[in-house]
Amino acid sequence: MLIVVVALVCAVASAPSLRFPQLFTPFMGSYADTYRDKKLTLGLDLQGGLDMVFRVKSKNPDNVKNDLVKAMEILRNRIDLFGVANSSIQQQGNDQIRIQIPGIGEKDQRRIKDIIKTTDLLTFKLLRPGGVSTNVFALMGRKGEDDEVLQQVPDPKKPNQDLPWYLLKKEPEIGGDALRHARISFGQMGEPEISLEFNRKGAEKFAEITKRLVGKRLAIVLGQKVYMAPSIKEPITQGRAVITGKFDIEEAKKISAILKAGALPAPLQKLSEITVGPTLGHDSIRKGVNAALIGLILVLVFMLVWYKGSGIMADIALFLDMLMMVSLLLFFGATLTLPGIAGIILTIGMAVDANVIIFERIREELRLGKTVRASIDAGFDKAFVTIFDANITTLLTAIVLYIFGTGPVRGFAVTLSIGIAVSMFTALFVVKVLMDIFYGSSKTISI
Amino acid sequence: MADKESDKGKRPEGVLYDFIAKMNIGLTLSGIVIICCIIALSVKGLNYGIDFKGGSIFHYRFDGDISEDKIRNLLKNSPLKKELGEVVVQRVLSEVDLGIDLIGEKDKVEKADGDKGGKDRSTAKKKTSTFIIHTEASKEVSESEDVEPKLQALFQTIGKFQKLQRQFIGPTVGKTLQTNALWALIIAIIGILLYISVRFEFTYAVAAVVALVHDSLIVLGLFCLMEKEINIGIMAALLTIIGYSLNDSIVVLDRIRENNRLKGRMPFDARVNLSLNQSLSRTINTSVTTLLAVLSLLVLGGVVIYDFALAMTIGVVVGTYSSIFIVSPILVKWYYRDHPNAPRVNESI
Repeated sequence: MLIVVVALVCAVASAPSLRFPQLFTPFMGSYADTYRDKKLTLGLDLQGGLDMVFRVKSKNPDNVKNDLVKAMEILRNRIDLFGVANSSIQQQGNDQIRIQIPGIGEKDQRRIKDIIKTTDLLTFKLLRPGGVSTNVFALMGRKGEDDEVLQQVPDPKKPNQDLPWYLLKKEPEIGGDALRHARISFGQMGEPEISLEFNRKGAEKFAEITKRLVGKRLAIVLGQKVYMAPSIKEPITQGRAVITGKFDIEEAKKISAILKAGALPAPLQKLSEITVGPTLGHDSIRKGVNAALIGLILVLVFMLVWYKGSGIMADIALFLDMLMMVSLLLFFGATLTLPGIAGIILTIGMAVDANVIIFERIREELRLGKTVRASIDAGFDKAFVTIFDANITTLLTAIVLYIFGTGPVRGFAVTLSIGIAVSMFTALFVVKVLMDIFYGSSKTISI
Repeated sequence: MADKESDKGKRPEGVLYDFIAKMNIGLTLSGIVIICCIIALSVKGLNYGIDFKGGSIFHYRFDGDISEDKIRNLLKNSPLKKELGEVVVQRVLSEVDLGIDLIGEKDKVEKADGDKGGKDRSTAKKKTSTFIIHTEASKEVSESEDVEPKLQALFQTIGKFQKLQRQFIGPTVGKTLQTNALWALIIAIIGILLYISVRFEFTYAVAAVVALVHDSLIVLGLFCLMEKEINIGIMAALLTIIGYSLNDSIVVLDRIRENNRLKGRMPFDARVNLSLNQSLSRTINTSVTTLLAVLSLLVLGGVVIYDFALAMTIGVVVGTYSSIFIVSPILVKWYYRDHPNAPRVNESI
């Protein structure tokens, strides 16, 4: 009876990971559907990508909660409009937002960081005299306390251009919150443009600024990039401006949509930022998987050599362990990180520990002169307590790691915990069943 | 009636190792090592990574053989000097340097856009140099400017490069992490003390905790001497080692517990010695299997996980040692201090 139950549990538990090559689809019916779309989520350290944590710095501390919710909404819009899949925006603690965007290439990383960070997406900044150059260091040399040096946005029509840098006054003359509209329009040659229309107060301010700065150049800055820096020939009183030139229709759509999505309610202070390039990720996966396979083989061989026939059963149990672990990870939608892979490897080593304890016990019982049947039973019985105590303590530390850890460490804690639980199950039940089958009524045992 | 031969848990060779008689040797050895570690830690201190201290790291790989000094001078003489502040440039040892190049890494070339074809079979013997550049925490807080594109412009003057990773951790995050790590340790240890006191006895709990403190100190001490960076991964390794060392200690304590029941008439020290011998194969074999897995990770896992794997390897070895040579002696000594007139086999206790 036990055999049937155990076999069923194993089959059900392992099936999802066997579906990886999707071999068994025909058999599984609707059960398969739940797993059809589940792929193993890779963590940032394996996929490459961006991970940032911001603190919402509301002027009024009572507003933090509202600001945070609003900010998350706006950020979600911005990121979605940018067109990345799989991004995750979560609240962390009372006043922090965590944004994770996996699998994003370096160019996109740069752009999206710009788009996320600024409260004032669109700003107009004063260009310092003679402050345009392709030599960024010449400008940096002239940079004062009030200045900043920003790069021009790449022009899709001139892909190989050496992008110039601009020396700007840090404090913007006017920002995007003064806009009423941002619309796409088309210029004389059909190239996309963005027309901006200021609100009444904005228009007044803009008129004053352009009057003051006639003859100078005003840089139009979106995010951290300069789009253009036209000279102001005369004051602009209509409250309208047009940004032209450096984008195609896709980009234009994005920009206007982002401007529409609105400005953030409070500044975001960047607490941490981690970007991982895809190379490192691929490297890590490859090596992690190698290490896991070799480790697995070593342990399998050891068990075979040291415990012979019974060792084979422990090995079968180990295989099942791996299958079930992967299934559970899929089931929980857990994220696999590099420490997570290390956790799996560690589990490979520790999974057989329970088997070792049981087998050594059985050997002892045999030495005491008990029959095969009795030794097996006694072995499992007496070893249970030991295994339980030992594994609980490791589980305890895994739980502590989960509570106090972040990202990758949590991945490690999760795989370790799942591994311990699964290996306890297989050691105590699966191996017992196997041993009952093969040695239940025999006079000798290979151990 | 169980016969006397098996009673003593004799090894096939018929030898009963007398651990207890030699226990002072083990304790003294450990004592010396621990004192060395404590001295090292007080004098040198731990090399905290940016996870704890805050700061930025830029992890870049360059084509060709570039020296640390070249990068250092480049940064020192650049206009970015003010932006970056105090900069530490460290060359990252590749698998070749660490001597773990089993897959022939040095003959492979990674394509910059991540060649999804899987196995990269090109064998152009291109040497690359990988560096980690550390900057302080305070220098990256500027909201409006990002130093990385400028850094990349600078790197372009050296040659082709590839960005592997970049991390910026603000100073407050670092402090939070330090606190969290400390709490994690404290809570784990309290939890363990409680659990073992309940399942066994308080003295056993203390013995187990001393063993794992011993293990942690040795791992930290060695890392301090090797000047390895302590980051969040190493903390995780440390907690895992604690869990694992405990595993091993419990295997021994469990046998002692059982023998207390079965062989109450034996003098305590002989009982403990017997337990040690009986659990020897369990302890060693469980450590062997874990060690096989961890060594595989160490040798094949690559540079990113190397330090973590190293910590685990040291931890498993020391953990096994401490289960045999720390836990039992403490139990024995404590017992005989509480029961000075109890019978004993070894006169020297």
